[in-house]
Amino acid sequence: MIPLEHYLYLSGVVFTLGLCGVMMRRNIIMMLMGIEIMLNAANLALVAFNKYMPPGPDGTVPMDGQVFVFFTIAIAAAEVAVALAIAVALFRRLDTVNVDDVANLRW
Amino acid sequence: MAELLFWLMGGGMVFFTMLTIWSRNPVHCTVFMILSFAATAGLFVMLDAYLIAAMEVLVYAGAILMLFLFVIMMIELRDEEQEGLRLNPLMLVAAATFLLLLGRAVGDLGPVVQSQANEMIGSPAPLAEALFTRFVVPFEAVSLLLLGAILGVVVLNQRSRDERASIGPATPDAGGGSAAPGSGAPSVPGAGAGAGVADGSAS
Repeated sequence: MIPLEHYLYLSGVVFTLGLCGVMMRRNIIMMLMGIEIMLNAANLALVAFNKYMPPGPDGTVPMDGQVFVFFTIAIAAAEVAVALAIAVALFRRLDTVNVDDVANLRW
Repeated sequence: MAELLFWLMGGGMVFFTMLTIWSRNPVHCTVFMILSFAATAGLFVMLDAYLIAAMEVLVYAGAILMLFLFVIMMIELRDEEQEGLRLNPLMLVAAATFLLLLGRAVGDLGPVVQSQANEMIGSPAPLAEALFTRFVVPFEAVSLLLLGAILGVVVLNQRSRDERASIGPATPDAGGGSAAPGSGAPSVPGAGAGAGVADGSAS
């Protein structure tokens, strides 16, 4: 049986990789991919926690972790749709998807 | 057996995630990310979350990454290939610190969870029961959120009136790949026509 810590370390490593992706890329679509990787790593941790959750008073295991993953996936889908629409609108208007070129609001 | 599978899937997940981050070609990035999500779905199966594994494949690999591929091909990302990545030592320090803190946090997890895994929690019935009883309000809120996202996407990529007039229907001479501003968004003509009909009936 694989201990919970293994899953958590794996999730942490993948989360950090996603963070590196967001920081290293200057392309808004690739940054979004990094965000998706981070969400996915969090999903893995949630499902692993659910597997190791103590049973409730009636002996059944609560499914809270998997319910939260369900919500995370739905929200990630909505987020990606809106963010990619913003990227397309940006490309149509400014002809770029590089975040350094979109600095109009920078002080 | 289970350990071997875990190392295989976990190693695959990390490996393909790294390839996603460091690959230059955006299309390759997307394909590697699909593989990484497939490995994650395998880990979910090992954790008895069969419904979540199916959703991962259907929604993430099937829908979300298809959307990524679609947009990447639509707006022809090219500059990334020459530009390369931006590497800053501060970033590596930040990532390493984050990983270290995470490792410490996992190290003294304490008695929050039990050390023994639960047997057989794979059935989707308790998951559905939780979703439709205790979590029914967030569930409905998510449906509203998805509706809002659909409307937001349509509004964001609707062309304004003068844009439509300037592009117009009569641009047959745009044959040589000159991507006119807003040549993407195949749904726009329909949306524009709908808006035009609405305007006509109003005036």
